[in-house]
Amino acid sequence: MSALEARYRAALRWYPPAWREQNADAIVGTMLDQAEAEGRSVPRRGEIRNLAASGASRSLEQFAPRAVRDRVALIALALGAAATLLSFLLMEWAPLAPRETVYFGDGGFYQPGAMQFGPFLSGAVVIYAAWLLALVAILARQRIVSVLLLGLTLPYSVLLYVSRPEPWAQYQPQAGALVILAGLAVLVISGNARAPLPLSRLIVALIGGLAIALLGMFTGGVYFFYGRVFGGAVFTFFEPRSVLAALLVLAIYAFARRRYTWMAALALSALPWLLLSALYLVPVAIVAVAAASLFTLVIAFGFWRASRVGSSNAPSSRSS
Amino acid sequence: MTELREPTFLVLAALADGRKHGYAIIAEAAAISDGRVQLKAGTLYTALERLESDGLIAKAGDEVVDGRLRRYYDLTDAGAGILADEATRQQKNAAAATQRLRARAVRVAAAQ
Repeated sequence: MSALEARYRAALRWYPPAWREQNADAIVGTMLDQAEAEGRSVPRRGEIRNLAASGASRSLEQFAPRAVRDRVALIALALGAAATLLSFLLMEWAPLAPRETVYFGDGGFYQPGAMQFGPFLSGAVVIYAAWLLALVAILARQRIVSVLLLGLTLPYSVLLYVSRPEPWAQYQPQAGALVILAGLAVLVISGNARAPLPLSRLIVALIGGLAIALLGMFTGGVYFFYGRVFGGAVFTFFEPRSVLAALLVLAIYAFARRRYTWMAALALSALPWLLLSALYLVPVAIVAVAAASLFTLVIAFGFWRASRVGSSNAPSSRSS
Repeated sequence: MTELREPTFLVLAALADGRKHGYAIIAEAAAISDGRVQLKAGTLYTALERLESDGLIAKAGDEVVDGRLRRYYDLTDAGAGILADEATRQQKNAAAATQRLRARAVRVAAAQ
């Protein structure tokens, strides 16, 4: 084995073992053919990096098939877009969150005459705007634009939280809200949210996300966002147990309909909310959370395997 | 069907006149694009896997040459249809753009 071939084979370690077993000889043969044609005895610039990136992507595919990732991305999009839309309208936009009725939910602190960020209450409006523009981009099948927009919200969120710019820093969302939105953004970026459903059903899914966000809003108890609307009424967003319950109900519905890929995606989407629920639960409920965790994990694993069998028989990611 | 990305289009185009192995596809894609697109092996095999799972290409045999495995791929009828549709779409766009550029050239010349 030449030194070049040894380097190529070593670079294939990023691929899953099963993939290497089937394809290593073919891809190494291709690269050696190319090297010979170009008179090279060392890899081309970027060739090893390309193998690492492709292999890592393929390994991710092994763990979470594309069909499942796309659905997880869609679920995250529906939840994130709903949260940002409601936050934008009810908590950031001055006409509905007027400076005279600013109210904080964690102790009844009332402060009239709050300073504003233009017609908005804080710089978090940039995050909400990016999410809503990303939603439009996804609907228009401009995925790269959506990836850029959502990707930019990540450093912006860190900047916003760390710098806490005055005078509106006290009105920006809590760290928990920023973390949730950042997590949802990563999930949206990791798949193609536009792939699983035609436009009409995608819109239904977005309305479903809005319903779940509203459910979280009115069944609160854990404040991720401070409500500031309608004369100081307190609203909460993403009460994690509500979101968890909604996702598990949908997962069971998908199971009943034998939509195993959706089942796996919904169960996987429920896991972060399960962890968030656990963070806020009193000790007596930990047993219930542990049981729910086990239930979700078993279902997620079982139906992930089922979806893999399904996807290996299906021609594309449109299998359900 | 959404429009094909350029590397995907070039892989399908490279296979349009018969089965080819990995390096031959890379070389053909470079030739079709006048050297502009240089597919890397990792990218190529990712695309080949996706196209095969979508039914647009199919494996067409393995051969060992000088101790190296060459895996051949061929276009399926579905792949040929998709490629033809995309070529037609690109031709129409190019024709429309060319027609408008001619009209613009006439307008600019008349204004001078």
